[in-house]
Amino acid sequence: MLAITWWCHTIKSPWSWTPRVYLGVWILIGVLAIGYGLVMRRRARSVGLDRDDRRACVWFALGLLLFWVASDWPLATLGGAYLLSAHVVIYMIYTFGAAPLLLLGIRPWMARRAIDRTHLWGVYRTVSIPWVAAVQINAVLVLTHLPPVVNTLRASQAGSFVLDAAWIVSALVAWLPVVGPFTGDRIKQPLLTCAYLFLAFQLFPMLPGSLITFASTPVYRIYELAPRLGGWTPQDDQQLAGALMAIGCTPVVWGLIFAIFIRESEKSRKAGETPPLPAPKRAEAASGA
Amino acid sequence: MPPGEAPPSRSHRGAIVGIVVVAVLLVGASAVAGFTNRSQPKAWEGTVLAPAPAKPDFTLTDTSGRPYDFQARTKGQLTFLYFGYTHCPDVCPITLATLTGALGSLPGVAATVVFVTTDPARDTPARLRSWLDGYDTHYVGLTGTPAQLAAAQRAAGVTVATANAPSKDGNYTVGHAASVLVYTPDGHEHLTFPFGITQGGWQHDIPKMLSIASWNR
Repeated sequence: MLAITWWCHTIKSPWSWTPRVYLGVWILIGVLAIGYGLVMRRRARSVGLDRDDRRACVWFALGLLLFWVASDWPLATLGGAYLLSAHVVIYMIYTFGAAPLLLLGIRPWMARRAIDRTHLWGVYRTVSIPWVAAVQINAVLVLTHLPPVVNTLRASQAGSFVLDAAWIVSALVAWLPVVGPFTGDRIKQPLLTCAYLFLAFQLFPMLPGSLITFASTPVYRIYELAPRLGGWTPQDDQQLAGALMAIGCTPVVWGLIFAIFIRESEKSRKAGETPPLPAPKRAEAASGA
Repeated sequence: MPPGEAPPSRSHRGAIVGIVVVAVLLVGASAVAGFTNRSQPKAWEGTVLAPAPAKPDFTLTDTSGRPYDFQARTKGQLTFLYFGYTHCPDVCPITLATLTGALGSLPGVAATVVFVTTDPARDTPARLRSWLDGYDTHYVGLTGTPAQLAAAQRAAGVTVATANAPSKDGNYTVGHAASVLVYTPDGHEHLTFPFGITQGGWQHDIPKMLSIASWNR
């Protein structure tokens, strides 16, 4: 029989391949998808959708897909009830997959209308400051990974929702200086963008990741006392989780840094190319014939 | 206004106040969570028993098929007694894994772990041995007739295990006492440990038990 709850949380029964239904996840995704679709449809009917609007739809759909994968069975169940490493994978997907893609799917006119209606320009202006965005995501990372916080919040559906919401919201804010809807608010200098990516997303998580990896005992009670999967011990699981937290973001962060360097070197190369000679004027051409 | 631009900036004061309030609430919630989880350092992770019951007297069969006199064979030793079964889906594997991890991190501690099956029908000596070897090859596995096992549980002061109704595939669970009974070298159970003790909890209590002179005579 299918187990139906609103959101994932710690459960005491052994792992089962019978799917679990998280109604809250499906409702949230449905609301976001339908809302986005209605907004785009209205735009299409009024002024039409340009190429960037259509591309944004793809990004948003992908972001929503990743959000669903991380929030629904089986990954959410594994992360909520059985494996610390799955808990970290969920965090990684939210932070490095869903959040930037969802942001890329928000067009400036969409963001402007939403922020206008909610009167949150002051908040937006403040949180989109790069140092504020970087500090807040690492503060949320630390706070939401304190053992008492994890043990308490993961134990209930409401607490688990608060944890997941904190992750996705802090990730959305952290990506504003890089892929936010207002291009004028993004970091302009490529080198500063690279520095921001490293400092905000990679440098600090190494610390809690290392602490978790090298801890002599399991850090989180809920995962230590969870029903085991296969022959994995809580220590094995914890070491993998710590390693993921410390270096799991490397492909995304350094992939982006590499892409920025390639793009900038291409720009420099094209800027340094000898411009073509101007075409000769018609009179000169006639006299030379 | 260009399409990719936000309106000109306004005062940040209200936003900063709001963000500080949210941050304080978040930190406060975390602190409350921390305090409710562990408001004061505990004296013991286990439950202190006063008066401390004496080590039970029973003889069962070990995994080699030989009689095992529990009182005589564990005399003067730090002994962990646990009643469970190898088909247990969660409590037994977690308890043994946590205890094994803790004992492994305390190399100076000499202890005897005795696992008594509550499911003699499925827990043959061979299966019992194989299952226990997955944790530690020195763990003692005991079985017996249902009457002998019930008597052992009563002697230890725990509820006698009962098998639940089988499911369609013939599998069944066994309701059993989930506590680990710990007997210090003086032959008494000064502490009992219900399910849920973490490795850190064992690491806290075991050395402390061994440091009390009267418990180790």
